[in-house]
Amino acid sequence: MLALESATLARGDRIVLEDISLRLGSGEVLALLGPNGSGKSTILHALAGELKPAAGAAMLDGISLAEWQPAALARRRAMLAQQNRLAFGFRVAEVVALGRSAHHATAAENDAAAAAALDAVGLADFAERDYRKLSGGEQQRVHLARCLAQLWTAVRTAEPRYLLLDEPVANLDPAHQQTVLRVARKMAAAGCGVVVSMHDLNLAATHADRLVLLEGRGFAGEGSPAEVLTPNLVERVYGAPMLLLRHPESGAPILVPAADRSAK
Amino acid sequence: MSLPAMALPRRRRRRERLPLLALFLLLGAALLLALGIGAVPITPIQILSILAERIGLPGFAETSTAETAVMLSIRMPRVILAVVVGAGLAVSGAALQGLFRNPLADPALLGVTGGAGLAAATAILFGGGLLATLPAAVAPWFLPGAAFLGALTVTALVYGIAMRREGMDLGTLLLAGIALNALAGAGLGLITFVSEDRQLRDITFWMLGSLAGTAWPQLLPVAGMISIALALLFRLARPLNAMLLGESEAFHIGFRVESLKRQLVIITALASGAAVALTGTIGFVGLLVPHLARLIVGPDHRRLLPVSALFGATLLLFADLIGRLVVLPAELPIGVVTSFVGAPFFLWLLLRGEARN
Repeated sequence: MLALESATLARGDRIVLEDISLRLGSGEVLALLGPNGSGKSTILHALAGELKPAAGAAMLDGISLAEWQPAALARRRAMLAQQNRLAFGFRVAEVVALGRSAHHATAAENDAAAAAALDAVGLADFAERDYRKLSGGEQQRVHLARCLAQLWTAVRTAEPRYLLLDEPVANLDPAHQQTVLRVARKMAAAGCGVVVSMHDLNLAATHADRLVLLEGRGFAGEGSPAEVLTPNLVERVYGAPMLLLRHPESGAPILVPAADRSAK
Repeated sequence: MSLPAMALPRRRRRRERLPLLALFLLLGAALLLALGIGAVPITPIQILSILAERIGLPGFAETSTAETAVMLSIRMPRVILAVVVGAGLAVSGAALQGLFRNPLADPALLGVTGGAGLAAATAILFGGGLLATLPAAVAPWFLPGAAFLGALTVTALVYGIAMRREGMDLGTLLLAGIALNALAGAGLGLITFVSEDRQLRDITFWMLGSLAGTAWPQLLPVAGMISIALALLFRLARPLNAMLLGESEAFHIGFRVESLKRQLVIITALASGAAVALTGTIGFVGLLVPHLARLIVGPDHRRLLPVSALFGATLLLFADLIGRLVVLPAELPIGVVTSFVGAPFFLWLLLRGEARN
């Protein structure tokens, strides 16, 4: 169980979130939604063990993240940052292999993990390419593959692993957005807990089991997509009028901006 | 899916071994030339024979006592100094470029060069009187000792300024290094302003760097310190690779980032401080060599650091050889040679990269 318990999260002196609790189990995809600056990344950094709560606790298996050895933690959770800057000319396979740093595995296992990860994000043929010559979207998928390789295990382990994705689809075309979110779903099916922050409410409704909508210093809503994505709540949080539709196939809620009445 | 992964190792191996072998051969050639060329010429066969005798094997070429003495007590320490200083500066540069994720970083950034220069100049200015009171055995340690302490003092200041409650801030480290270097430069300017002609000449020569006049007693601690520092830096190759992704990412994939940053600053300061203490300022090696090495073996520090060491040693040997030979019977300061060769070469690299893109 990866959890925030009554945590207050601050960036320097500014309190971003106050007294929030969040639990993530294995097999689940949780989407973090909310306006810019509402604290989506802050929550992910706290769950990664990088940002220590000013009050309350961030814990993995009941042990404070601050007490975990970085390498042991790295074998249990991976995080994809919003922006990845790498200015040196690694080959794609080398970037992905960096994700295996904390594993005391054989070269064959590491190669298998890297190959499986590249395949999962649709970059199987890119292993020998120069990372710097890829497009922004391709680079983002390379880093996702690095995170997958980090969590890859040859045998399924009893200890659940956690994948934290900070706006993984922000720079991708619709097809690759689907690819990435399907990867998240597959990881959940393989026993991982996945947290993904994003802006697209409808993508979140389609791919996540549970949504958390952030507002002010706390949660405006938490629950299934149908519970959270109501026009009233979304209009309150984002300040934009919305209409609720249903996905013709899945029945998932779809929100579209309401027509601007003042323009008529 | 597994095909590209399986085809990978063999191709990688061939790509890495060839340049490594070529570099070893180049270093060997540089060593033989540096030991052999000079007022008393010694052939490569004689060099190997003297070395063999030295370690207790039978010699196999005719050598005079003069040749043996020149090689073992004059050229040998100088050659070893070139090797350790070249390797030390180059590997420090490569490690700092990894730490800052900036290909323009070099050991001077930590204030090492500025601190050493200021302390050396101070020692030259006020040292004359002090030196007369010191026992003869201590005298040769005076200037290198002052330069080394100066380098470490300024680095410690830079380090102290960059340390925050949450850890070391690399941006501040960089800026503090630049600011303290400028301050040290101003202090140096002040000292040259009040120095007498002879002191001024000594300071200028120190600032230009030289491997001349190296004796075994001063060489051994420097060589020892740099060797230990290099061994420690080689062990940090994998965390350095992770640092290229960023500090947060290095933590995410399992490294102790704060401890890594502290180790890197301290070890590179010791290595480059020890290097400049005996030789004075030698520019461009720490900046240029890692770039060259990266062109050949790529950015992976597991290959980059050893190749930088080989390259740095070879470059400094050749630079010293050039400095010794072009203006006989005088010597060109080695810092002048490295910058004269290094700067145009660096520009050529930049322009070539430009043309490619």
